[in-house]
Amino acid sequence: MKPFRTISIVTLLAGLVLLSPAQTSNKPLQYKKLKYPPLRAIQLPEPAHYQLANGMIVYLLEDHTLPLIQGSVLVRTGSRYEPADKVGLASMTGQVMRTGGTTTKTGDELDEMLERVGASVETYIGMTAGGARLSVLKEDIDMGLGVLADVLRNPAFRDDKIELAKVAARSSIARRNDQVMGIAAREFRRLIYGPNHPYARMTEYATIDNISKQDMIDFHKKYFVPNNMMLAFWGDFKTDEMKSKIEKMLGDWQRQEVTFPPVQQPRLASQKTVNFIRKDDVNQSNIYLGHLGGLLSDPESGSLNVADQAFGGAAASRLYKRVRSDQGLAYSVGSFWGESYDYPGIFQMRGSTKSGTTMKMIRSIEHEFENFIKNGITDEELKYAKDSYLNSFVFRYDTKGKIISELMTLEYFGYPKDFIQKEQQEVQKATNASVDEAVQKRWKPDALTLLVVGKDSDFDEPLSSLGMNVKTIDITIPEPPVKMPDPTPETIAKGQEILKKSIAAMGGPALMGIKDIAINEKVLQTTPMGELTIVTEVQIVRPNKMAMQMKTPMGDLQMVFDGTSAWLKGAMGTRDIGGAQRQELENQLIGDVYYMLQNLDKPEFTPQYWKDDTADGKTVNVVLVRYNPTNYLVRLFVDPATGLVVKKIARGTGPSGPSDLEELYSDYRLADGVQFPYKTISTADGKRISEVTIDTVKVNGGVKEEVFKK
Amino acid sequence: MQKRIFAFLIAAVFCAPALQGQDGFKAVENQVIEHTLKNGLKFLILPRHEAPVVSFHTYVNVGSVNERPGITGLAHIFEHLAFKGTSDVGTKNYKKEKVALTALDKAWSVWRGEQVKGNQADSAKLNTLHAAFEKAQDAASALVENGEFDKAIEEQGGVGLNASTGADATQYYLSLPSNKVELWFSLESERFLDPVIRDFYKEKDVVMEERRMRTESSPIGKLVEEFLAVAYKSHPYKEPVVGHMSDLRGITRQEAMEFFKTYYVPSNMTIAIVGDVDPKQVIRLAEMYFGRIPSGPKSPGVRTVEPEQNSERKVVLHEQSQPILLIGYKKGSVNDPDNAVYDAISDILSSGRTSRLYKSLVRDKKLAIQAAGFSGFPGDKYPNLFAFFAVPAKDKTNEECLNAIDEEIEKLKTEPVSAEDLKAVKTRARANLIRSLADNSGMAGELTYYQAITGDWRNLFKELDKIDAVTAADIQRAAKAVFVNTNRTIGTIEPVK
Repeated sequence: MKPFRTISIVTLLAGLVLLSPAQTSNKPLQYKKLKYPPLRAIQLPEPAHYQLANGMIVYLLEDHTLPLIQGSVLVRTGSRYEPADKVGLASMTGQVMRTGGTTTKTGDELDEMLERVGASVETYIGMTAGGARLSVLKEDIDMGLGVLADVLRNPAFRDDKIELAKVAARSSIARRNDQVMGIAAREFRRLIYGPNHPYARMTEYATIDNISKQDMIDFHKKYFVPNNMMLAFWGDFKTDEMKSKIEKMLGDWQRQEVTFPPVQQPRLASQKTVNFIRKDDVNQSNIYLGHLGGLLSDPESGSLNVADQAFGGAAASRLYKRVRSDQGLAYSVGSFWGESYDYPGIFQMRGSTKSGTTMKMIRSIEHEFENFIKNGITDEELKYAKDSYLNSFVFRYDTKGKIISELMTLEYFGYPKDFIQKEQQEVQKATNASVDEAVQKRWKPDALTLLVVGKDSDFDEPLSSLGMNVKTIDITIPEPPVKMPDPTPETIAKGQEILKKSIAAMGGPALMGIKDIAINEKVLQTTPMGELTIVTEVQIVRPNKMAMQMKTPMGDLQMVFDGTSAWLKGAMGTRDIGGAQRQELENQLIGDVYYMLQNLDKPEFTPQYWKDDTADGKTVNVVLVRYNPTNYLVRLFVDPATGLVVKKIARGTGPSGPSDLEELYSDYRLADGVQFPYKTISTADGKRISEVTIDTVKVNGGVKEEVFKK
Repeated sequence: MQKRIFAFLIAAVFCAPALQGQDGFKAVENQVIEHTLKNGLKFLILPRHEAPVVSFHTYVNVGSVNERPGITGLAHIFEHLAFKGTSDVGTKNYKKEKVALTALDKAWSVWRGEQVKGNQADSAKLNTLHAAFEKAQDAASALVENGEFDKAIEEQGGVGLNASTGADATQYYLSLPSNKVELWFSLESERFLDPVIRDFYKEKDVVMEERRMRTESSPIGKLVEEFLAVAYKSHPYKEPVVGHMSDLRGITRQEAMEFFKTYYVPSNMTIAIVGDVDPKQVIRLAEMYFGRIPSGPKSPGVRTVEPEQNSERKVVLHEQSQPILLIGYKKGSVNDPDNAVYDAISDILSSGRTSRLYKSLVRDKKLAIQAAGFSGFPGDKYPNLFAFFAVPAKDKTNEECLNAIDEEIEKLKTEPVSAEDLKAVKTRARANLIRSLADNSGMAGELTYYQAITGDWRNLFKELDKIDAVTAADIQRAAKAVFVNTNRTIGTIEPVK
């Protein structure tokens, strides 16, 4: 048993007593004339703090004011340790641990047991920690502790509750763009940490689909071990009795080593950016400005907290006074110097204002920010900010629950037990100079990320008037990947039959004899800046070479895949295309309709009939063609009347990430004995990417080898 | 709107055994000290010495129900103005400021006079008048000590400084270290003794931004506003608390002052103080500071009574949002003899994972990710709605959720609630009650609520007795009386692509 060092509240609150003791006055006084007695000193209670033989750390604190017992468990885990393709795993594990029941009780049985007596035991896994919470009337502690231990040790992850959690997760995804404030907060976070960083990434339908029961079992097993856990109870119990109950319930749990996957530390942005999300159904803009924040342990943390309180962290702060009270620009405005225990938080200034004063508000916030850095904190602001912090300190310790949570959290993140005391001293010591120096060091006007969510057609001035490139962010929710059935001999036979008919309809021997194709086409590309016309020449040589010459308004560009490697050549020089992008090019060649039809008999390809569907108003047969070496799947939509392929869908990367890429074919014409669609409309998850019109096609005209040379 | 579903009770007990039996609550009741000033202002004091902190709650019995056409939103605007100070707080020189404010009002009213001509307004004149208004506003603003009220509290360690306005009431909250009790007495008494309405036109802009944020740019905000407008035909519960945009634009400073004088009279206010205080000292300070406020005529009540509803009503919003379902059935006020029955129904339908709506809509049918029914929407004081809401799961519809809720309602009418379920309701009520005792600020809110709305804070305790008396037959009877289609309003958000 480790002894626990007591922090005396007398020391903690020493800074509060600034005035000499006085009784209350005899007549009504204006507030400035009041004198206050010193705050009553109380002894900070001393929790029992010890470790079980298996490594679990325990805190116990008696509190007999009400016949209640509260509990809290902290487990070193978090969503930051979940794999990138299974975002949502940690949170769902934390939820289903409790809802899915244990090896001996279903979740529904646990619900009944607890709710009949107004008790609760809940588990969770957040971003940087997981755990459990318990609340029971004192007479129900044995039942409550039993459920808590059972849920921590023996969760069963029953299928029905996994499904329930998935329904909830998918529904949240579907709803994530409904409230504009939610969009702004989420997307700002993604801009600061990076869209795929563990501190900002989102669950998607695809990542939820990827999560299996076994994943949850494994995630729980890895982290929920006694030596990776802290347990606390406070309330109406006797410490000795509680100790033996805990020993009985959790003492025989075996320790097990835990290793944590590394998490990349996020970096401060290297430049200013302006970002915009269009939301046409609102009349108010949500504005965020900021950059990466700091750690609670940073040496200038005390001074930065003073700066934050004075600048935008409170009702009497500068930002609130200038933007809200002086100008009436916003209901909601403020700033927050974000600090966390072991990763950088976010420094943010935010507010919302009517569309017509969007730019005025941005300029006003930026002006106050730059002015604060340049001219520093005033004496009055310094006094106000320090007094606010120091005088409200008592509220950090006004309940037993707060006291014990603070101690656990400090220990969890490896902070010293007297950290808060030191922080208080830092604030007390803060001066104009220390605050100004900290602000100049840590507040970075050159690294500000701006995000505006709103209706830009009603803005007072366009965002581009800030003199910077405006990046528009697409928040369309990626559709869930469609589930494909496994092939059967019958569906394979039917698939082959349908596509044989297509081969005949689209050229027969002429199609089968394709060795090379040269196409001249016009591509009307949809971009964030509008439509762009690109005149393109595509040359393909079977089996796997492709070259594209593109004339764009920004200059000529050449993209080549020579069968093994790929590159891009243009005014900026030559750049190799590797990794996922190269794979994408290869998939395009494999998924070329003519190539697939030519190679239908080869063992690499398995066609299978899936279902009937409609395309362009007609009933069509959908055939899945699977490229067996990589399991790459292409959906071909065949018009049974003509045999022509009228649509194709394949997974790929669209403008906003992984999507279903769709090509709609029309205006078929004969060229060199083969039917080609002279018009192709491409979409990604239903959003238009391009429209391609063919000028000329030449089959087997002989493509020169040198076009595939670097 | 903020009342907790199970706000049964309050008061404190410091010895656990006292809570073991129902009689123990008598001991709790005895610790609440009631003191009424000569001007009619009632104080409720509950000492709790666990930590050197104290919470204050001022409940003013005025809400949006007390407004009339043309001044909707004024109760809420006044809540904002109450943070602007007095002739002594928030000003650099009140004598000069007073003159500047009169000039400002004049400039505004001339400008406004031209504005309301609409198409007939002279645009050159409008510009001139606007410029004159801006100038007058700048002159008045220059004399304002911006944020002094907030600062005075924050720098002394005040936390949770805020206020809220609902359909029934306007409430002001604050917690302080317990050695600063007198600070609250000074500031709170003076802002209701001698308020100065300054920064009026800017604060109206702030409130308009609040309306844009909560209502106009939020699909759920829009639904609630449209829903109430349809559910109520004549009672002011139909009006939005935040007010209509045109009224916010047109409300005058004089109207705000009149509203204050009519409703912020001591007999219309209740104050609770819970925490580390000496009641004798608190009473002395109350007499000294709040005794200065002159008594006034009794504030008028609401004349209009909502007529009986005899047709089903429906409102559908097409929004860029996933679906949302809101249902409301007309029922009696918080003082209806069946109030405890409604609370029991609400618990059975909505409390936790064993509640009927969760089990049916969320767990078993997987139609919704959230579903609940609760009593007291949009207020409690006057006959109001027993409301249901559902948040449909992905690819599920409002209609499917409505049908599933209807099934549960039908069960309430046709099958008696089991003795076991009813016992659980009562056990949970007791547990919730005990939990609520731990929170100073929450308790202060409950004390004032029961005093102001039911006329006696002791009803907190009586509510617990009443819920103990609820029978299965009561629930069936109340369900049959209230949950009738011609007595309901349905509001939905349907997604547009």
